[in-house]
Amino acid sequence: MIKLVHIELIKIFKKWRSYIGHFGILFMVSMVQINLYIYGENEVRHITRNLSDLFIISGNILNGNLIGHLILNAFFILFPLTIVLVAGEILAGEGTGGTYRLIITRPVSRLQIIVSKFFAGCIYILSIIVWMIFVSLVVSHIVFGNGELIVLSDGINIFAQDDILWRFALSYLHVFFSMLLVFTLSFLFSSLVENAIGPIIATMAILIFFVILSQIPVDFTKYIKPYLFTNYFMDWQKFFNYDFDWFVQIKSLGYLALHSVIFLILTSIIFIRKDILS
Amino acid sequence: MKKIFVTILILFTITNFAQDKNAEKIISAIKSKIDKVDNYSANVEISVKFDFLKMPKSKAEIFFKKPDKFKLHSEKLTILPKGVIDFNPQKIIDKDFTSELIGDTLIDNKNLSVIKIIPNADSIKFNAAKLLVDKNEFLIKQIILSLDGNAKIITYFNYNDQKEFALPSQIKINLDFSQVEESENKRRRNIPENFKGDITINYNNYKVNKGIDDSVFVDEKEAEK
Repeated sequence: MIKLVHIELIKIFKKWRSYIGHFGILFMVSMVQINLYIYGENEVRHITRNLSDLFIISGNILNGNLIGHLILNAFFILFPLTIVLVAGEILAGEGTGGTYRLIITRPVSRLQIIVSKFFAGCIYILSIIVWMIFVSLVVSHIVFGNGELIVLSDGINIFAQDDILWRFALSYLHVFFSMLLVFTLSFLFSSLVENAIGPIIATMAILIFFVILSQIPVDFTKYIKPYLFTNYFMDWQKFFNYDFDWFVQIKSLGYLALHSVIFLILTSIIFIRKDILS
Repeated sequence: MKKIFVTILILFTITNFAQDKNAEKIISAIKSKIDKVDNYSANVEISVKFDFLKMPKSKAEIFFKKPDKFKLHSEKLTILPKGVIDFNPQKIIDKDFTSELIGDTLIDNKNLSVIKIIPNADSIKFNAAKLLVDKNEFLIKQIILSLDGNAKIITYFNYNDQKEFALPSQIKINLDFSQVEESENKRRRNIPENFKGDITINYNNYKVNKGIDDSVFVDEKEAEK
């Protein structure tokens, strides 16, 4: 299995398109960091605009933690795009390249192939997330230093330095599960077709459609919203709240994981039954 | 919200004009203590518990110099309510109050004088205020403030080693604005009009009248420019 995963990883990381996400993240995050380095005062003013006439504010607001949080908020939307570029092709690419018969006639089961591709996908998602953590958090800490984190959502939450890292860790864990769902959905579409463009477009279309659906200001959306998996994507933000409910967060993670498992099972069934003779 | 802190600021400035002779005597004695303070610095530990603002306890150093110089210095991110931490005893003397001694009350086995403060101007945004004063030591122990919309602010003062300057060792402020109606035009992002909360400030390591250089009050960022 390890060898199979290794082979799949080579396939993923040999393609230049697999690095679009990494370069995109590096470019966007660098732009933000450079902008904040030069015009950071404006950002601080924007954040404290509501507070400064009521409170005396002292200390370093513009620090690595704030920038890491701002970037995760701003570029979360990038993650699905980077994931589907790889996931959409992971099976369909075999069809495009005409290698389906080659891999299926090897002495490994089709389930093993699916599982190895799935694990390779997980490692790719991790590579994106670890890269994001590095460029947004680690680099920001080096450039802007450490400090307390101020979060303006559901009021004002300020976190001490020793109360931040675990929140980032859990947030990124949640992001991982969200992206795993995106990956498995795209993986599912990828098992149905022999061209990577279809799964990429279909996955993004579903994500956008679900987001729009949950935002329509009519009564019926509140009934369907809990069943739309996109509704749980932004739950990572709740970790940056003093009063977050562990049960709700675990439920959110479970919901995302359950979807991923269902999509993976469906993909396995489709792939195992796939006709490669015609 | 802003008016809360303005009101709190006013609280610290109402110890002045009195028409009631007894009240005037007590208030003058308090004021003479405050007047002794030319400058001071202190370490503060503040805990803020509001519905809308949650933060860990923060520590800072504060500096005050007559007439109205105030500086808060903290390495860590610290957010302190204006009008509470930086109240300036020298700003006293808004002459639009009338004070009246209305009796005594027993709190924590201490006999405190109750002084009623009546605002004379419409611009003053509170309906009624009471000062509870220890008339033996001439120290304000409690301020009870009633505002519009059933809002209430109660401030408790404790004193330790700076009684001669009327500088507190602890201030506890209890704010109850839960009954206040939200006004759309005044709505601030993340800061509601109606809320409940407590602010506790502990003061220690007071250095009173030891002299503070003016450069302390220069903003570091301004100085860099």
